[in-house]
Amino acid sequence: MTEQQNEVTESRKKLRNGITVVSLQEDAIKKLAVELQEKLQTVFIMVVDTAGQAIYASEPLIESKSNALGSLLAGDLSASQELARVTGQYDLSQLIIREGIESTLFISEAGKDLLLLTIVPGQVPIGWARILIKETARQIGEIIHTPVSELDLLSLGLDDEKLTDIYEESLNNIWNG
Amino acid sequence: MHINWQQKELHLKVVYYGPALSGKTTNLEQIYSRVDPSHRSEMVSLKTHEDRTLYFDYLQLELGKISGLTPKILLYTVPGQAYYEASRKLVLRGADGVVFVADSHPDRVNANIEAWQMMHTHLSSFETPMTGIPIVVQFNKQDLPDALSETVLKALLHVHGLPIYPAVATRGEGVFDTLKAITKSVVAQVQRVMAR
Repeated sequence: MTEQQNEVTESRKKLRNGITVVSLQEDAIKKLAVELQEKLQTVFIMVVDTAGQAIYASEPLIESKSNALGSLLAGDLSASQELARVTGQYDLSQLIIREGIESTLFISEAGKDLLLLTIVPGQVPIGWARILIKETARQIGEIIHTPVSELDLLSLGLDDEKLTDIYEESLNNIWNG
Repeated sequence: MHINWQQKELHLKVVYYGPALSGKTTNLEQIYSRVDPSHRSEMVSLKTHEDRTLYFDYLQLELGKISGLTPKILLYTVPGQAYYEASRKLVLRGADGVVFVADSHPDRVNANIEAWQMMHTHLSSFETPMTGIPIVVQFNKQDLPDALSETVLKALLHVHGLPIYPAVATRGEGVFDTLKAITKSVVAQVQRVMAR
């Protein structure tokens, strides 16, 4: 790793509550999700960050649906986490199960920054699904904290002196008044 | 801040915080109605039967490509009622910037102060001191006949040194100025962090 890359990586670590997902990490997450899909014949799999931003979905969603689902997912798990903290039950790798007739929905923490939503057909045993989902979530959580050597934030123009003005102009362009 | 490297997207989270009925949701509704639909998501609202925010409102704005990135601004409101304090804290987590929407009605002074102090407490619990996160203050409902002046509200909340915007959110006045101000502050903060 060059000195410049080291500096960039250091900058990344200083960001407040932020994560950076690079293509290699996304590919690895997708691979794990596909493996889980094959093992459990899942109906749907989605990975989002703790703010609800979708990182992976097993089938294309229109953006508005993806936003809504991601937001609700993050909210659901956050509420459950807080509930656990308030009652003194909080632990890492939390899993919420919503059992239905046609399908069962699993919402799990994948590390501290990501969430994994897995919808499994009703006939799949919950215990079996739970084991595989927890392991996949654990691996996804590890991937996101794997050091990234291809990071080059400075090439993205974030050091532009007029960046705030450019953002203001961009906002002006989408505002109908 | 979150960067989706594959899609070259920069995500910035802005939270509208404030006491109950101060106009946080109204701000988002005005933004929703005035932004080109091709550059915004649908608005997600979790409300009670009384039309009060239960958990949060959410709206995403997408700006045109800037340098190498497509910026997306994720706007959230918190539930105003003190009963939902735990939810407020959750929504605030991970914010890149905060808009504090204060109510200019004289009867709401204590509610404003209480919300301001709780916000401070929550941010501190995230190890994010007030000086470390961009905050813009909006004095909403300035159209009320007995609305407190900017000078009085600044003194009551001790918000000296922060950007202040008077507003009448129901008419859209001050809403865009507030949005632009917090966006610019957040971008400047991101640049400062990156430059370290």
